[in-house]
Order: sequence, then structure tokens, then C-alpha cells
Amino acid sequence: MVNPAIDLVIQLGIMFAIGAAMAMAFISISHLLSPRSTNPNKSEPYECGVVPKSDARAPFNVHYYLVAVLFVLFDLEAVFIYPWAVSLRTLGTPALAEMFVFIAILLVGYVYAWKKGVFEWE
Amino acid sequence: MQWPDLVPVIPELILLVAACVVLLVEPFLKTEDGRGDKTAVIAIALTGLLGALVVSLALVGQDRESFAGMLVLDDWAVFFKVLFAIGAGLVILMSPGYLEAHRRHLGEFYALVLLAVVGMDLMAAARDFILLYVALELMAISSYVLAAFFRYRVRSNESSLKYFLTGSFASAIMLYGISLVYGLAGATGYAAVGQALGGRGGSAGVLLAVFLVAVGLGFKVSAAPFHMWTPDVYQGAPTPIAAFFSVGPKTAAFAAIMAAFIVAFPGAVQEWGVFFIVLSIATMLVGNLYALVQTNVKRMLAYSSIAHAGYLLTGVGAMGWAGNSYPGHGVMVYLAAYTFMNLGAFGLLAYLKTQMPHSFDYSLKQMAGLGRRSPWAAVLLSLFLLSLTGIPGTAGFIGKFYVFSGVVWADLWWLAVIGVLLSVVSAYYYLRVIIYMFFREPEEEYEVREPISGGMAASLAVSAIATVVIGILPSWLWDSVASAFNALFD
Repeated sequence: MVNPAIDLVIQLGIMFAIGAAMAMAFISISHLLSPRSTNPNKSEPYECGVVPKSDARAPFNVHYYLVAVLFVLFDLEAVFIYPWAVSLRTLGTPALAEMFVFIAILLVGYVYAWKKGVFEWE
Repeated sequence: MQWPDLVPVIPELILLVAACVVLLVEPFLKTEDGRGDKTAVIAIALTGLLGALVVSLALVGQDRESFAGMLVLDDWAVFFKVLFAIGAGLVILMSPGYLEAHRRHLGEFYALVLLAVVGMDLMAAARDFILLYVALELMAISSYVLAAFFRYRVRSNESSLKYFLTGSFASAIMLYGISLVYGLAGATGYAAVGQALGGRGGSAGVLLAVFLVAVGLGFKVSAAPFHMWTPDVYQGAPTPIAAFFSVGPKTAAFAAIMAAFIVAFPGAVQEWGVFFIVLSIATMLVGNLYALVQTNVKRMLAYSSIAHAGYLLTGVGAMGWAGNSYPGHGVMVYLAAYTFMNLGAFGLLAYLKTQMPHSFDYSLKQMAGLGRRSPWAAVLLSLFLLSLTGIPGTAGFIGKFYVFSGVVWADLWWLAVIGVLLSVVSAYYYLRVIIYMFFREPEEEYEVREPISGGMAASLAVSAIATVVIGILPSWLWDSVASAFNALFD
């Protein structure tokens, strides 16, 4: 009888070995068996079938970043509200009050961003 | 779910509300020239800090816990809350003139400082690793933004990016340690972890967890070899913010180390004690030796703050070595003394920069002739530098005396000898600035803007008075430290 902990390590090791062998096998088989076609179009970046026009690293208006950051913030707010809504009945009144505090703090940020002109597009 | 007891966090709630009000008021301030008069936000921020200070003082002697024991209110937490409120108040007082001179006086500055103070308060009050981490992040994220406050300047950007990268790396390491602690103990509260780990402190898993948490907090106190970011961050950040970084987050991290390690890892005291002793020797050496060769005073003060972290770490290491909280008393006295003398030294640099926004570059040779140009500034800076050296009669001496006597008490007299010898080395680079100020002729005449703003004067005066008072009458500070430790460990 092998020590159970060592047994577990051996089992895990076998699993990792098989996994690695399978990955390597798939890549080498497809490399050996696949048909080759050489076409200059193949090395071009794929952009939904449209021919690429310019470099992807073009400068963007910094405004996009502000809007994106705000989107992430308010999106996460929704992520927090879902589990809160599900367990609100068991948590009771304190949780309700806490959510109002949470939204009030976010609202401060919203008013701040609004007055700073983040939502204005010229 | 119970209603949480909010009394322990009243100071933080006051600061949070003040920060929100600052953010709401700031966009509505507009004058004809479009730059806005910031008196209102400064008043709100200072009122918030004063409120937090008064409420904290009123809460002395309480012993409560809240949020399922995640944070407590005792004399330990109150000591640090008071210290942070005073420190942040001094920083805010010295800032307006400096920011005005750089034409970048925005109200957000004050909101960010207040939020960082909330994080620091919670770090000191936390009795749970999760809350410790969240509070540390609140403090750190505010600090990253503050470091980049002059965002049009390359150096300020560099400072913020370096702080952000190293800081988030350190946070990740610490979080990994916390997850190991949870895996081993099945709990995150300090006391619960200590109970669960109990005697098996010496096992490899526990040592790894302790090591990772210690490294994460070691980054925050800029202990060598995790100090690389400190000089660049302090040099690039606005000077009042460098002052804030050098005292606030560092003190908060020391508070967290002292509160967490003895309680949570009692079985591994010897091991983490030795770890901090090794760190302290490396930190004292690196800080003092690099400071010797600096020609930029701001950068020299950054290295000197590393050296001071080293002196403080000797006390922390002695706590672990002796398995007793007694050497921590000296660390806490030192933290209070260090807050005032370092804020004063950085504050004077901020003052000089405000006087000469275009010509002053913090270099040593520009300090020449300061004794004649503005004698008061030179005298005050000399006082702060002498205190940083540890000359008797100043706060720095009291701090070093208590830390090193605690180290000797733990039978680590050789460590205290190293510390004292390196303090003697530090006299060279501190006194050199004084010699430049009083005994060297300036190479060129500078265009100086006067007068000094009232807030700056008040900030420097409070720092100077506190430095002298702690130096001459340290017993009240010792008493409050002793009651803080009684609250923590009984």
C-alpha cells in the first residue's frame, strides 16, 4: 500500500503527462498531415474579411478611455447588485441600507464625472 | 444580518463624507480666469480631518469591535488615527502654495489625501487579513494617483508608474501569502489564525505564508531589498506628496505588521523575527550608504527615509526575536517622532520650491547661502535634520533611544550597535546640508518669491514644535504608547 498522499501525486502526474502528450500529439499530427497552400493573403491580419486599411495602432481620442473606464465602473455596480438582490431577503434591512450607501458613493462619482464634462462630445 | 456597530469607524466615515463633499464641490468652483478658488475645498478637507481627530481623541479608552471582529476600536487604533489625521492635516496645510506655484491646484488632491487616510486608519484598526488588504489597496490606489498629480511632467508620470507597478506586485505577493494563511488556518482574522496555527508555526507552509505577507508589507515600508522604487517615486512626486508617502503609508504598514504578526503567527516568532532583523540590517546599510552620495536633497531624504525604516525594523525584529511586544513600544514612539520631523524636512523643501518655482531643483549646491537668504527656513531645516540625525533634545533622539533600548532589552545588543553606528554615518549627510546652508556662498543669486503662505507656516511651525516637545517631554507619548500596547495584547 502506497502512502495516499504520494498516490495522489502519482495520479496527478500521470494525468499531467497524458495531457501534455495529447497536446503535443495533436499539434505535431496536424503539422505533419495538413495540406499546405502558400498565398500572400494568408499572412495578412484577418479583419472580418475586409482588406486591412491601416495600422491598428492609431491614436484614439482620450475621451474613449474615460467613457470606457466609467462603463467598467457602472457595469461592476450591476455585478454587485445581482447577488445582493438574490440574498436580500435573508440579509434584511441592514443590507438594503448598505446598498443605498454603495449607490450614493457611486452617484458622487457620477455627478463628478458629469460636471467635469466626461459625457460631452464635441 | 445585524446592524453593524458604526462607532469604531466614525472618524473614517467623517473623512469619507468630507472626501465626497470635496469631489462634489470641486467641479462647481469657477472664477473668471477659469482656475477656481480652492479655499472652500481646503476648508472642507481640513474640517474633515479636524473632525476625525477630535472624534478619535474622544474615543480614547474604548474597547469595541465591529463588522464581525474585522476591525476594532482600542487605544492602539486611536493612536494611529490621531497620528494620521495630524500628518495629513500638515500635508494639506503645506500643499496649496506649492500646487499654486506649479499652476496645478485641483480640489481632487484633497479628496485623494482624505481617502488615503481612510485606508491608513483601517489598516491600523484591522484585525483581519482581508480588511487589511482592502484598506492597503485603498491607501495605495489613492497614492498612485497622487504621485502622478503633475501629469504633464515626465518625472511625475515615471514616479506614479513605478509606484503602481512595484506596489501592485507587492500587493499580489501579500495576497498570495494571505491565501496560504487561509488555506492553512481556515480563517482570516488575526486571532483566529493564531489559534488555528498555534504551535505548528515552524512548518514549511506557514513559514512560506509568513514570508510572503512580510515581503508584501516590506515593500510598503521600503525595506531593502524591496526599496528600489522609493527614491524615484519620492523624487518625481510633488514634494508635499513625497512628504505624505514617507510618513503615512509607512506608518500604516508598520502598524499592520506589529498588530498582525505577533497575534497571527505566534508559533513562528523566531523565524519572522530573524527575517525582519536581516531586512533591518540591509535596509539601514542601503539607506545610509546611498544617502551619503546623493547631491539632490529630496533624493537624499528619500534614502534617509529608507534608513529610518531600517531603524524601525530593528524594533520589529526584536519583537519577534523576544516573542514579546515590548520592543514595539519604541517603534511606535519612533513612528510618532518620525512623522513630525520628516514632514518638517520635506515641508521645508516644498517651501523652498514654492519660493523659487522655476529655479529650485532641490540640489545641494542651491542650499548654499540659505542661512542668509531666509534665516528662519534654514534654522527650521537644521532643526529637522538634527532631529533626523538623532541629536539629544529632539524627537529623533527619543525615537532612536526607545527603539534601540527595546532592541537591547531583547538581547540583541549587537543590532543596536549597528544601528547606532549607522546613525553616526547618517550625521555626515544631514550635517552637510546644514554646512551648505550656513557656511557656503551661493554660486548665483536666485529670484525669490515671498511671502510664505499662512498654511505652510502653520504646518512647519507645528512640525517644529512637535519635534522639540517630543524631544524634551517624551513621557506623555510613552504613556499613550503603553496604553495602546495594553489594548492590543491583553
